[in-house]
Amino acid sequence: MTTRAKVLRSVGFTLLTAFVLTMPYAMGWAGSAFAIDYGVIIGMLVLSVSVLGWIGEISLAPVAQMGFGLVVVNLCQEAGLPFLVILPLVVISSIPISLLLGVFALRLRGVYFAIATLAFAYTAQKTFFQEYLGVQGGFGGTDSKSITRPVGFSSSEEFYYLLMGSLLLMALTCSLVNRSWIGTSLTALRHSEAALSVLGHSPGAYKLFTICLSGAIATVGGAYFGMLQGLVPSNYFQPALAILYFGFAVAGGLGSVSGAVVAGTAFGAIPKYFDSLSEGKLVGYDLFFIGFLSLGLVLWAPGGLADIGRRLWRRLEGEAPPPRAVTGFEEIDIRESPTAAAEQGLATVEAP
Amino acid sequence: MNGWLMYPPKDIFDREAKLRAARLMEQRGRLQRVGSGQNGGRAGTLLLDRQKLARFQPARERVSGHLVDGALPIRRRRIESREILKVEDLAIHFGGVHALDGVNLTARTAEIAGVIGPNGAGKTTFFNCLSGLLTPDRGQITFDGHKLNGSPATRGRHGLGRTFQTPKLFGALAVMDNLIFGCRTADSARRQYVFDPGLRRLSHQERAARIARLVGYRGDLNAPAGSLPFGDLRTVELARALCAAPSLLMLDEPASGLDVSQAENFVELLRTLSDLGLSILLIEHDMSLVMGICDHITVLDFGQVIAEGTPSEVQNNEAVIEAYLGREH
Amino acid sequence: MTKFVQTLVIGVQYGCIYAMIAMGMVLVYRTTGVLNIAHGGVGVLAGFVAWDLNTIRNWPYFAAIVAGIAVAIVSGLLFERLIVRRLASPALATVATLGLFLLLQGLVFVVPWWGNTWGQAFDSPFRTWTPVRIPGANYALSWDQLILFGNVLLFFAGLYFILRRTRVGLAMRAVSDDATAARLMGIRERLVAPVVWGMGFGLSGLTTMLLAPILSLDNTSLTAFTLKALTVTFVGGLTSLPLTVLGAFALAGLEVWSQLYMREVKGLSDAWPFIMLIVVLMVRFARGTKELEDTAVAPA
Repeated sequence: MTTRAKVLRSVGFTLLTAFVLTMPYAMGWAGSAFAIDYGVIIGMLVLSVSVLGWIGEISLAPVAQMGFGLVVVNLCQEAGLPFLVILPLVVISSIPISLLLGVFALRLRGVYFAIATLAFAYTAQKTFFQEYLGVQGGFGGTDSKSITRPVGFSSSEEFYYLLMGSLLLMALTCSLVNRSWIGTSLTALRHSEAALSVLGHSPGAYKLFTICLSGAIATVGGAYFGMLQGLVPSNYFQPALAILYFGFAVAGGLGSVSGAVVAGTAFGAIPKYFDSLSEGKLVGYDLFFIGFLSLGLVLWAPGGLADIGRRLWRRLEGEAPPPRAVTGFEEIDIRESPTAAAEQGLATVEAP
Repeated sequence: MNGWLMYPPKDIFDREAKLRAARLMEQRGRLQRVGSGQNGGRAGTLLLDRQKLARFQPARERVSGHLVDGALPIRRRRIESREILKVEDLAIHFGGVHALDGVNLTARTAEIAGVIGPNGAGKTTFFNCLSGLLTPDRGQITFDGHKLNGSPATRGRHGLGRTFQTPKLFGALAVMDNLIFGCRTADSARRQYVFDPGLRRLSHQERAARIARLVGYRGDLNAPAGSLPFGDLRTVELARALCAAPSLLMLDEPASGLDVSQAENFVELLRTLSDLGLSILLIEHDMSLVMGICDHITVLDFGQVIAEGTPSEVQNNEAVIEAYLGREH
Repeated sequence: MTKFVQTLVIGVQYGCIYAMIAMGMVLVYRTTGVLNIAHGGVGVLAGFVAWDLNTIRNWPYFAAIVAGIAVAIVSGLLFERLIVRRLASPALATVATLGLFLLLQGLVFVVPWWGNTWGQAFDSPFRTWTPVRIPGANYALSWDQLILFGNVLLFFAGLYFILRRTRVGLAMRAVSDDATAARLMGIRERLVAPVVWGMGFGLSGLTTMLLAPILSLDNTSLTAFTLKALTVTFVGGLTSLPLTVLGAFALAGLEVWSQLYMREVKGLSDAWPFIMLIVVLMVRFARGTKELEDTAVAPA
């Protein structure tokens, strides 16, 4: 790596770390820390949608899974469980629903699977959430206890660090999975399921794994969302919202971890900042703007922000990406070329 | 020339031993081609490209030679040929079309069985049913003693290897990574490599590299599979299937798109593998290749078996001739 | 009896709504391979334009709705020309329709004189016509409803005919199957694609015009209908028009019936989309043939 690249990378990394660590205060001019907290949670949601790009599928269920996370947190807090117990419980509780979705993923592809998740989300919204919470009520309403933030993280600024830490942990986990043999298998799966399966690897297992990963992230995101808002109306978890988050995921680059995190956080926080800056006068502009941006991205940068980021960084570094590392196995070449063989007098199989 | 043995060197890639063996062969003179002529030459027999056929025809003794491009001197041993695959009454339909209608087939170890037929006969569908990618309406498949009815992945782990009509490599991954998928299966399913038991002891990378050399792949193992020329795609796909330690290898038109010398090398390779005990099931359109290499041929037409037997039997079969020639009218 | 008739009528009405929206989506999907997520949104745009012209600028009603539908058709043509044509695959185009969907949702708010609310009432002149009484029941059908029913039948028959029997329809289906081959056969893909998109969007505009008098011009509810209509398209496998229409009426019927007779089972009336989905899934995939898309079952 050239010195220029090294310097760029360290500088970039330092700047990024500094920004991330001080974000609530650095962005204080635009609005309260609530906005960035909201953005980070949307980042989690978008990550959960984007992860499904690894198996080449689209799911509109993460919003419903978010809702389930909220329900679980509510139940746990009513039972008086501490935060450190609640979080693993939330993750575990996401598995049954992920498996249900996984069953659909094994039978359905592409658009059909997306429709199935949509139907699931719609039904969950209308039957479960509205019945569980009552049509008028919500979490934190008069009928139920509000969801509280864990001790020590009550203010928006403090909560931000918990959220950001969790998001980074999720992103790190996803990155590690992607770099491991699981990631290689997922790449193979995207190329050809048939080839992967006749080789003796089960595509279904990988699909289920990815869906469970996505579900866990979405459910934890929902739990945090409950803690952030305290009060959530029961009709919040609309499937249309899932379409919006899918749009964010595409904008960030489907399947890209960093893209999803950046896009989700930005598109989650910016409308809130916009709201507070314009004092609530400009409603709907955020949707308009995001729609416009999506169209532009689809036309000129289908890989999303992640693709743009990669290209830009490469330009900055001024060189082509480093070549793939050699596997490290030294080849012992004992093959002879035909002429060499002739020289050595080796026989060859010949036709008469 | 029965009992003509080459004592196996300790390491099959022992260069000295290879040279010795090759010189031995040279001393014994060129391999004799016992071209006993095909048949009585009846009018109306299928005309085969005699020159091409001659190239693919093996010597009667079935001694495979030393591969110049490969790396495997052969240990000729007596292989007990046993039945490894038995397909009974396989049938499947799509809409109103009976793609397969009561197909029976048997394959044995150390044999190369061919499946031929005009276009639309149901050959690839047949392979897809065997692999588990399609579920047949009826039929029983017995593989290596037990009933075969799991998912494609299960069948792959039991030793059913397969390549596709259009090579399905994982383009974004390196060749080595493609091959390692097979090696991982062999390990997790605890399979022995029929054609070279010693391979299990090696690491994935070494194994993959050796099998790649065996099939004659000379390119860079770290190149992305999507960047390979077409001939290499087929070779690497074959290598990948071999890495999974199959006991039966199903090849779907493996020689299509190869030029003549590539096809010859390929045929030699198949013969070598077959001699070492691997069972091969082959779909192919090139008649001379099929007649030259196969021990047993099954002919399909409209989803039914219209003939089967040795190459000479099939060549003279009226129904087969009609199926092929009749199409031209 | 009255209650039964009323429920039946409401059921048929919602069936018509789902059917119209679903047909529009199936049309576009069958002929382009793109799932038009913006289908409902385009209609809303057309509806607001018509409402604007009619209520604010006092255009006559029919002129206004024709203008609204024209806006929808033109936006379809523009969308195809500027965006879909430049995209490499239907998957990207589906994402583009998503972007369009968001844009349209926001657009309704951005235009300042459209009231900045989520919905507007938009009455048709048929409201003043005497409703048709149903013999034997104390219930009457409004002309808006009758026109809706009539249009659904008309469009179903029309689309079916066009796709199956005319050369244009054949051309559309050929292009969606294999654009290159279609071009080699002399089918001007450049002409077919805009026609398809124009038709699809136009149909959406028309749907809204028919619905607005009954339900009011409402962004949210139209989106909700679009989503339900998506599950209905699943019944038809996204390709079969008759099955789609059947599914639409089945869904509406089940919803309405359960609301009337099975009130105690909470949430059932809303669970029908999912239940239908599962049933269709089991029936369609009962054989368990997982035809993996890349099996390349070539004739051999």
